[in-house]
Parts: sequence; C-alpha cells; structure tokens
Amino acid sequence: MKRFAAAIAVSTAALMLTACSQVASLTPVGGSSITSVRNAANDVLIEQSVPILVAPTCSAVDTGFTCVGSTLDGAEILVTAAGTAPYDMSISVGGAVIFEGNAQAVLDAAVLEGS
Amino acid sequence: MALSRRRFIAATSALAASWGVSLEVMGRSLAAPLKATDAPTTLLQTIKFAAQPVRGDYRTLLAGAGEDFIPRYDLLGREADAARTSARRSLYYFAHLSDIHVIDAQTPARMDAIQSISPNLFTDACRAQDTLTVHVLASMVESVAASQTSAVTGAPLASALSTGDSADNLSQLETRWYIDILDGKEVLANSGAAGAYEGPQVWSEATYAYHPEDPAGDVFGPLGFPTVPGMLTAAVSNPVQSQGLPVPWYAVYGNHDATFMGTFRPDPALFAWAVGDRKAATGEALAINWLQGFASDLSAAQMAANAIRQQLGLLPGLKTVTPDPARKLLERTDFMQAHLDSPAVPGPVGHGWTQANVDTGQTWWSADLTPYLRVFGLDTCNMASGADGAVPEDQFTWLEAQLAQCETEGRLAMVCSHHNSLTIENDAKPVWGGQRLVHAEEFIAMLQRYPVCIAWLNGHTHVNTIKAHPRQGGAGGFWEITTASCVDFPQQQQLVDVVDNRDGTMSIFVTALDHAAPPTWTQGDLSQTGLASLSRELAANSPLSNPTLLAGSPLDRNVELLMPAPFDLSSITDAAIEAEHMKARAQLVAHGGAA
Repeated sequence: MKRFAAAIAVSTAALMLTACSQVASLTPVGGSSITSVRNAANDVLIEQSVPILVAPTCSAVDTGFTCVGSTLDGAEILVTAAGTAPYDMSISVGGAVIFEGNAQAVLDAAVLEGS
Repeated sequence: MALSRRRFIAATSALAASWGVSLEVMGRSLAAPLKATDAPTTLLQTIKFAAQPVRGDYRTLLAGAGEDFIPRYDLLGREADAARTSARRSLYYFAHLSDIHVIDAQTPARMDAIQSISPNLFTDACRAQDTLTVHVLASMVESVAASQTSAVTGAPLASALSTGDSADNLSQLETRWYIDILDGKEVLANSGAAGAYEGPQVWSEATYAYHPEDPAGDVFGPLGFPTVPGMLTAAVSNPVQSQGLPVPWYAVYGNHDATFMGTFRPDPALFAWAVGDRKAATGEALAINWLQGFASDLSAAQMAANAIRQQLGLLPGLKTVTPDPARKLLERTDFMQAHLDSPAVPGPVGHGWTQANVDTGQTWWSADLTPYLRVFGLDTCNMASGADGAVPEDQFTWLEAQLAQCETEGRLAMVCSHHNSLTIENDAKPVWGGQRLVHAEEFIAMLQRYPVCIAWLNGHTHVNTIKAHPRQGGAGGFWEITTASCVDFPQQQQLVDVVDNRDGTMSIFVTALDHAAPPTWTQGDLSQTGLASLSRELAANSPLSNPTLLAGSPLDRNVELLMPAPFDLSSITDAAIEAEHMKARAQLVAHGGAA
C-alpha cells in the first residue's frame, strides 16, 4: 500500500512538474528586449562610422543589458542599457561615451525617410 | 581546372534535353559569362517611413536609398584582403525564406478575439493585414524570381530554403495555399462563403480588429488607419496569380506548422471547431463558449442545445459562419505529406521530406545542394506547448554525426531550423516520456566543433538578425542568419551568396529582399499588387509588433560575412562549380528566365 501511495505521489509530482513546464512555456516569443538594445547599438555605431571588428554581443545583467564588442584598432565597444522599454542606454568606444539616449528612439529614427 | 569544351557541349545537350528547351536557347544562355547584375534588391532601393504621419500616428511608406554591403569581420578577427573582390567565385547562391505565415483569416479555428483579452500574449492573433498574406507571398515570389542572378558574382539562383512558419495555424488550406504559390499556381485566398468575408473585420462588436470599411469604431481608427472600401471583398474574391519560384525549394517545420496558434498541442475539439460554423467575435464569447466546453461538447444533444441557446441570444458574441471542410487542421505528418503532393517542378517532390519521413514520422531531413554543400533541415518545434523551441536529443545526436561525416568528406554544411539562438530554450515536456531537449548554448557549442558548418539559417522572431558564433581560442565559427517575415513589417526575406575568396577565406553575402509591390500604396488600388503594397503599409503601422525593431540594424541586412575557409577550398574545382552553375542556369532557362 505504501508503495502504491508512493507511486501515486511520484506520478502526481511528475504531472505537476510537466504541467509547470508547459505553462511556463506559454510566454510570448522570446528575445525582443535584448534585440532592441542590440539593434539600436548597431544603428548608432554605423551611424557614427565606428570601424567594427566584433559587433557587440549582448547579455542580460542585473541592471538590464550589457553588450561588448571591439573596433578594428582594438578599442572596446561597451553598451549598457536598462532592462525595460524604452531602454535607456549608453555607448562608449575606448572609454569615450559616444551616445546616451534610449534605444527605442534610435530604432524609430532609423527607419524614417532620409535616415 | 575549368570545364572542357567537350564536357560543356555534352552537359548543355543533356540539360537541354532534360528541361525540354532547345539546344540553341540553352547553349546561348549557358555560354554567357556570369556577370553581377542589378537585381531589384535593397542594394538599390530601401523602404522608409514618411517623416510625418498622415493621420494620428499612421505613416505611409516611400522609397529610400539603397544600402551597400557592410563587411563583418567578427569570425575573421582582422580586416579582409581587398584583393578578394577580383578573385572570388560563387559556391552557391540561394534565397532564404521564413515566416511566410499564409493565413486563412476567416477560419473559426483562428482565435482572433483573444486579442481583446491579452493583446501582448498573442500579438499575431488578429493583424490588420491578415487577409492579404497570399498576395504578399506572390509578390515575394516575384521578387525572388527577379533576383535570379547574384548581384555580387552573377551566379545563378539555385534554390530557396524556407525555415518554417509557412502556414499560420496548422491549417490544411493555408498549407495548400503556400505550397501552390511557391509552385506557381493560382490561389483564391478565401474559405467559407464564396466572394464574401466573414470574420471580425466586419463584426462591429469585434473592436480589437481593424475594420477597413470603417475603422472609426475599432482600436485602429484612432491610430489613423485608413478607410479602404472593398479591401476585404477584393482580397477574398480575386484569385492570386503566382509565377512560382524558378528553383527547387526546401522547407522545415515552424511552430505554426506544428501546433495550434503556434503554441498549443491540438486536440479533437479544435479539429471539430475548425470545420464548424461557429466563430467567436468577442473575448467573452471565446472564454465562455469556446474555451469552456462548447468546442469539446461534441454530442448531438449538446450541439443542438447550444444552437438553441445561440438562437435565443444566450451565447452572445458567438457568430454563425459558413462552414468549410477544407479548413481542417493537419495531423502531425499531414504537413510533410502536403509537400509530397507537390509537382516535380520546381520541386523537389517533398521539398526536403520523403515518403520515409511520412512513414516513420521523422520530421527532419538532409539534402545535398551540390556535391560540396549539404543542408540539414531540423524540426525544433515543441509539441508539448509554447511558441519557442528546442533541439530534441535524437536530432542533436543525428546532426552531430552528420557534421562529423561532412568534416571527414570535406563538404560544407548549413543547418536550417525555425527557431534561433534566442528562442531555443523551451523546456516543456509531454505528460509521459519525452526526450532531453537541447538548448541554444549546447547546440551552438556543438556546431562550433565542426568548422565545415558555415551557417545556421532560421527565423521565428520576425527580426532581421545576423550573429557571429566564434569558436573559443581562435578564428572561425559559424554565422547565424535570421530573416524577417512576410507577414510583419518589413516583409523582407534574404538572398544569400556563399563565396570562396581564394585566399583562405570565404564570404557569405546576405541581401535583404523586399517583395515586389511598390513601397507606396496608392489609395484605392485593390489590385493583387496593390493589396500586397497595402499589406506592407498596414504592417508598418502595427501597434503590436514594434515594426522598427523587426527591420534589424544595418549589420543584419546587406552584409558580407567573412570567415576562414574551413578547409582548402581549391579541392572544389572550377569545373565542379561550373557544372553546378550550368544546372542552376538550366533550371532558370526552363522556367523562362535568361540566366
């Protein structure tokens, strides 16, 4: 009887875990926040003719997002951004800040006529 | 070593006979030297938003300047030798399609009304341009066909690879429409009643939907969306003509081809609902009658009771529509079978899948695009639940063995899947059983172990995105190439030319491709092309999809992706490449092109 009860308990736990994994997966398609920061940073770097060797690669951190890349002459490209829209961000190249503003505004401007 | 004159003549004769084209026409076409062309791509013209809105926040679109290629050195670790431009040769030129999302906007199975419950969870449940997806696809096919020679090398277009979400909602009709448009058949993008649209875009209580006849009362009106009388009738009444892709095309599963709404495992109730005569117009109707039992109450008595309740007005928000058995939802292997029910030209029959796939249920495949380039088509969909995906362990193991074999054989490899590195993270498991699901970090690390793997092509997020995945401790790695969709702005796909620079490096040129409809929609133009143009404009103004993000950055559109050659590419002779180019040119000539 104990064995039966244990089996029931294990099965119930497995079902609950499965259900949890299925419910947890019901989220919108992933990645839009970090991609907003990445794309806007790239827009700024190209707009300012920064010679890119390695395009910034972004990752999530406690404060939002950090992206790191490098220029052809070895300077570090560093992007720091807030984790929520409109993603206030700062971009520096070799320690010199070249942009401060929000990512969404950059994305919106990049598609306008004349851009 | 180039192809000898004798072999050239023999090959030309064989290709002329094979394609049923006169020897003179075939010979003249194949003898012409490859030459970079001005294909109508974003190298010549881009599409931009007007600086000022015309109403509310609504902006029209217009033509902008072209974008040149930007070289990317992430995997090379240094600048490239300028001399490469005079020495390079094309190994393979193809189109990358993804997220076509052909939609039957009237099917009862489409849960449009969920938009009124949670606009952010399912941003794609009810788009303004949902009735126009077939028109857009036909326009994209026209654009691909017009790009039959590479703007970089003049190489002939050899194939198209489609990385999933070809249909939108597991629908037989949507799947048939997309296949037929790619194959060059005529499609009437309608279901249910002949010549009439039945759905939320004409139901006044469906305020979450765009009503082109009069948007004043819906959520789109205040945003400045236009009044377009006759749009819906034109969309469902006039057959869409397609010239068809001029090259063989391949496809993989996307989550919208495999699961209901791209998210849920379908059940018998959903299958019944899809071919039935009831459709929810409001969120309340969806929640009360649809999700809580109406669809699953299949007994005749209960159905009759529900019909009486509806007649008495006790099922508010539930509409009666014309039922259509063609709207049935697909079982798991039906999608592959539909591809096998496709003609030999442009082919290949099955488009990657074979009868063995249908018989065994194996949903992934490989194909030799040339003797020196193999492509692998994965199925990364999670059949338990969720839009995002993962790589099941059996495919992971299979792919690794295949890549090891390519490494041994000195063969280049590309991997196609629907999901990308940001979205291979779904860990949902079936109730019983289920194998280990490999996520992005482990998958990327595996691909990096095989230098012959030069590219991973995918879609899913609808964002133009190109990422380098460098190997640890040295140059090399592979490029991940994600294309935008045909349904959301910018409605772009990609052209890809894989090039040997003959200096120990290779380049993958990617070009963003707009569909052929004009950038600016002319008020009142309800022609096939006009509707495709209107679709792009409506998509550009979507309040739900963040259109300006989806376009990607300049580093994700027209780019030259450099990398070290994974082996001595001189082992691929000029004669071998020329023979493949001849085959590709013969396909184009047979299709009516002049490659």
